[in-house]
Amino acid sequence: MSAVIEIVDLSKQYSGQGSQKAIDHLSLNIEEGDIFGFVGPNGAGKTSTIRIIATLLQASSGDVRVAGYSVRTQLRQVRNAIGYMPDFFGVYNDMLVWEYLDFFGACYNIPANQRTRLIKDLLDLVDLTHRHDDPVEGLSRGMKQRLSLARTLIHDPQVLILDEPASGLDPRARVEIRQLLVELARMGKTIFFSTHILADVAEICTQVGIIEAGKLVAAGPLEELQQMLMPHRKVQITVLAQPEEALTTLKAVQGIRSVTELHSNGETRSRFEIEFNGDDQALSEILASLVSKGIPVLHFSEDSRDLEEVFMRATKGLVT
Amino acid sequence: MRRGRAYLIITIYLIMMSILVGLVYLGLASTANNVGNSSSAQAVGKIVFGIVVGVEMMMVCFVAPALTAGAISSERERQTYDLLRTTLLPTRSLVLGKLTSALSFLLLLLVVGFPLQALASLFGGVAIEEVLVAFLLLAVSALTFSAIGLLVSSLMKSTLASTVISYVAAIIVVFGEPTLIGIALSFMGMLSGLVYTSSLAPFQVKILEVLLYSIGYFLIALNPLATIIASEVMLIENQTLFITTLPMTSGGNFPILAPWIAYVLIYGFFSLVFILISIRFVRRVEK
Repeated sequence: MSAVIEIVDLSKQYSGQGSQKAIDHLSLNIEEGDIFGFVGPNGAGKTSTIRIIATLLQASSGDVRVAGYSVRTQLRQVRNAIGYMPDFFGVYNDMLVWEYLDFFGACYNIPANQRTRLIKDLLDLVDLTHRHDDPVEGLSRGMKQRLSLARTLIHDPQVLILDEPASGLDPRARVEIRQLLVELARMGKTIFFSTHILADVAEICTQVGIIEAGKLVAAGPLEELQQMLMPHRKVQITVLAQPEEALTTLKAVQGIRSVTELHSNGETRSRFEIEFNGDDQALSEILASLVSKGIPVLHFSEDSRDLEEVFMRATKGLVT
Repeated sequence: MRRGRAYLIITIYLIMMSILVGLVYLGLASTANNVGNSSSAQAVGKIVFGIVVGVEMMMVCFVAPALTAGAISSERERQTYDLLRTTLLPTRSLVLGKLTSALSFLLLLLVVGFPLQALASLFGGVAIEEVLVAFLLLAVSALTFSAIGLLVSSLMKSTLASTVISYVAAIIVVFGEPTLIGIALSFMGMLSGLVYTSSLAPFQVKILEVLLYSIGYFLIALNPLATIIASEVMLIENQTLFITTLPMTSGGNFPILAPWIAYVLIYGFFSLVFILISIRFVRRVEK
């Protein structure tokens, strides 16, 4: 597959920023069909990167190519190839829902006789058909977000550039947006979105990029990042009795890097957390070892190496 | 015009104009010996027409900036500007669309005032040429003052700042210029007095007189109200709408185009420049 977004040594420095760069020699390739999650703390450079890709901001150096077109010299072609949704956007409160999409359809030169059908299909996709004739100002935040997503799709772009698409939404609305994005990727769209909601990234992204202080600190499939940044497996073990014997047994096992006894007030059971290097076979042997010594094991499970942990390990907590 | 506000504005505008015209007519009628007399009626017609056009000119000068001062800046404030900029909508279409929207409403305000102008025509004394020239001046003024608001809006991030600056510009053009004209004319009067009593050669006197006439003419052609008055005076005294001559003390005549022609050309040129600059500014990609 070819890279549909190529970010080549991109830098951005705002005037009055001194030597600190908002984007510092960022290079990234996003393949066709990917759902790319661009993660970073506030002020990391996510929005600046997205605005450059969307041709709204000039880069200080470097280039971005979208579907083969340069954002420096081929703005119109880039704008035709992308659908852009900013993190904060307004709507035209005097318009009805269908008029809003019709207006932007006209802005993309879609013939009037095609727009009616297209609007119906888009509203159906984002589940807003029942609000077709309602004023835009009466929509909830989640509905406006879905309407804006429909707007980005009006001209059938190859790439969606979304800046914090789930920002400010309630959990149900966030789930709906995630489902929509997955559906759009299934339809062949490439999606590049920024977020600081790690759960969204973990759920749907095929590729993740972590940026901090303008620099890309890690990028790739989530599993690779987990393996790279968290090579050790964490396992939670709860025993009903014989905690000292359990501790001794665990410390004696080869491959266990550390054993931590966790205490909870008022509990009769004992909980341990182990960091372990080993495969599934070795992990099952630890359980077998505990059980063979008559230690009553109540709970034995591995922690998923979640993105929050990956993020915390990748970033230093710097703020631009 | 989806909301009722536009209809309210038009209604209030028409009511105020009607009251004004009514009061003027009653005032004139109470002082005229016989309103039925044709020359008195024509005079009434001329005055009513002049007042209607004058009020409409003031309306255009001060409503046009309000309609366009937020054209671009309000899109930024409403956070819809980036949505528009990333579409395939050409910048000139965006700018001209905003201008057309404002001009359409202004044109509507002018059109709804036609019945009041027609009322003046009933009294006579108002030729069709005057009506057409008045409408042309109003239309060009609407275009220029709208373009001023549009230019300022394309430069400013805030609609409030844009509106203030647009109104300051309108006040300078409408009121500041007459002050300048008055000062300039006094100065020129003084200067011409000195010229004629000086020992300059005749051709030098002629050159200076031409210069003074040109400056005075240019200043008048820059102001909407001065242009209307000067053009009307030229029509009444010289019975001509296009070219006339002014006698020169140094001998001969100084030909001048009717001020309204110069006004249309100058303001038309400035409108075009403002619109092109607006397009250029809106087209810029943020650095």
